[in-house]
Amino acid sequence: MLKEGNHDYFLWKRIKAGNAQAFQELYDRYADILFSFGMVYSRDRELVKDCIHDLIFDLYKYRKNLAENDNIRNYLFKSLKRKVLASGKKNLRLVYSENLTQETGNELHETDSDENEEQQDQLNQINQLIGQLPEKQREILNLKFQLEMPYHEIAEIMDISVESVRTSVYRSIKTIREQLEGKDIILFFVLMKGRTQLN
Amino acid sequence: MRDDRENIHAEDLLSDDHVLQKLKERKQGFGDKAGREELLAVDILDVLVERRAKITSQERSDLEARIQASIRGQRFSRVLTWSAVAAMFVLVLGVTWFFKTSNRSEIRQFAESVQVDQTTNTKLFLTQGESYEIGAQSSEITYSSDGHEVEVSSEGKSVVLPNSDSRFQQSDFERNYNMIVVPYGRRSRVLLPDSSVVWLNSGSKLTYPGHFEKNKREVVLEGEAMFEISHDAARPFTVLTKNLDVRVLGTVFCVTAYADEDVSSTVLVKGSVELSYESAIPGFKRKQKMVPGMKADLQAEDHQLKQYEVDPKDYTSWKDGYLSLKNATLESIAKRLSRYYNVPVKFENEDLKSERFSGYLDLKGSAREVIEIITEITGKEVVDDNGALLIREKQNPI
Repeated sequence: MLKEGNHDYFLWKRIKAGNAQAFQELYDRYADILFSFGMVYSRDRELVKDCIHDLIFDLYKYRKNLAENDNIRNYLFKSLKRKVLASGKKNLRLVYSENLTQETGNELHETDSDENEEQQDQLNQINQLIGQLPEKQREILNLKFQLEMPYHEIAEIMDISVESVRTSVYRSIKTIREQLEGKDIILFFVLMKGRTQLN
Repeated sequence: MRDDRENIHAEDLLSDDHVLQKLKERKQGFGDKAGREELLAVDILDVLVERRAKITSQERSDLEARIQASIRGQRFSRVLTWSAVAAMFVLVLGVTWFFKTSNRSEIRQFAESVQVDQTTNTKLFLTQGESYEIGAQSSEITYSSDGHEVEVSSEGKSVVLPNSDSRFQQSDFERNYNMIVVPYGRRSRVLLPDSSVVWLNSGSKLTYPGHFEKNKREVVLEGEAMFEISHDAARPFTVLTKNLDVRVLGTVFCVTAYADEDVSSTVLVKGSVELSYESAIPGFKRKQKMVPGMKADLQAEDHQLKQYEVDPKDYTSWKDGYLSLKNATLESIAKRLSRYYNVPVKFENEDLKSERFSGYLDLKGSAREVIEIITEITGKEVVDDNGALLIREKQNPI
């Protein structure tokens, strides 16, 4: 079994050589995570897909000029982020209406049982509070917990130190916690009860 | 986990990767004895994980196909880019020759002389005058390189038809020409004997010889088509339309010249082409060269040719089954859709026509579905109106 790094190294070599299968492999490996990653920076699914298309197509077009690289993952994330942010600014697009439902920051799935209503409330509140965080902090939270990226990877993508990433995660959660506590202590007890019954 | 739980908060739990892992696995410490900070941490984690947007398997495979198509196209266009350089060079030599021959072209005479009845099916006319009807919405027509056989495929089926007969020589030109008529609502792709590819959009007619002559390749177009011309310096390729001729050696471009529109236009994707059109002084032709990424509109009335920069994709995307729009008026979108689907589109209110849109429209659905995508966003609605589609302001249900 090859280690991730080794595997990427050879994959990159084949991409540079223009091997069609290598592009297939790259897509199979990274399509899911790249899409979720791209969606951290845009709400437009079509735009993110366009950018992934351009990203891989550019790799093909400019493969001869690619530098030696044993961290494809990082390269892909950084380029995709740049592309999504750049094209997001360009102009308004027709967005299919089903995609517009995501506009409000992903409504969380409703649960049908009454017991869970309080719980749902809490989750919605947290979701809202995440939405209110400063952009950079929210980006870091999303990368850390949605995409389960390690600290050093987030640091590289955002061009900041690992320590800054840690601090940001800590601060964001603290903000969320403090605002929740400030809002409604009583709710908490009710909630606790609900939770206990559940378990 | 630590003992002094009182002073541990959610932020401490979530920023510690070991604890985070335990929280994810929901191991230990949960249930009755769960600390409230732990519960909160889990809630925050849940919300964040839930926020992740996932690509659907449909989207995933569509995107994969798109990327593959682009890479394949790139392989092809590399050859074309090279040939375009050669093309520019030879063009200069060919200009004087061009002057003499282009005016009264036999093929143009033939194309203008043939009247085809209104048809609902795509119709292919072969060298000896026999015709073949294609019932499917889109079809592919492939000529063998000697032009003696034609393969017609649609909906996964195909037939091979015999075409030109060596007994017919150039002098017998009427029987040497082939023609394809693509009515509204249909599309077709033709691979010519010289392996040039032509995508014909709805409502178009293309006339071409069953096999090309030794020194030139001429086709006559009415309607809209995208061309990918194979390189052959010895035989320049010319697309003749009513008012505008486009001459090339190897390139990708799109020509629009509908009989019911005053404007003929060309969009150049790759390579180099030269446009030739009647000047205000009868009998004198004017010429203009184009570079990739430009669109040229010819106003037949005043003999004015205007060139301006565009995104070629906006004009060629129909061949891949979608429309790419940039700041297009609803009127022009409706016109293109009504040709594509062969359904008249009407407006209740003239003001609606000038509203502008940008984006991609997938043409896989029905005309109505496609128009609904636009109207849903803008508070309009689309209703059936005696076989036509009527776009109007949304009426409140009573």
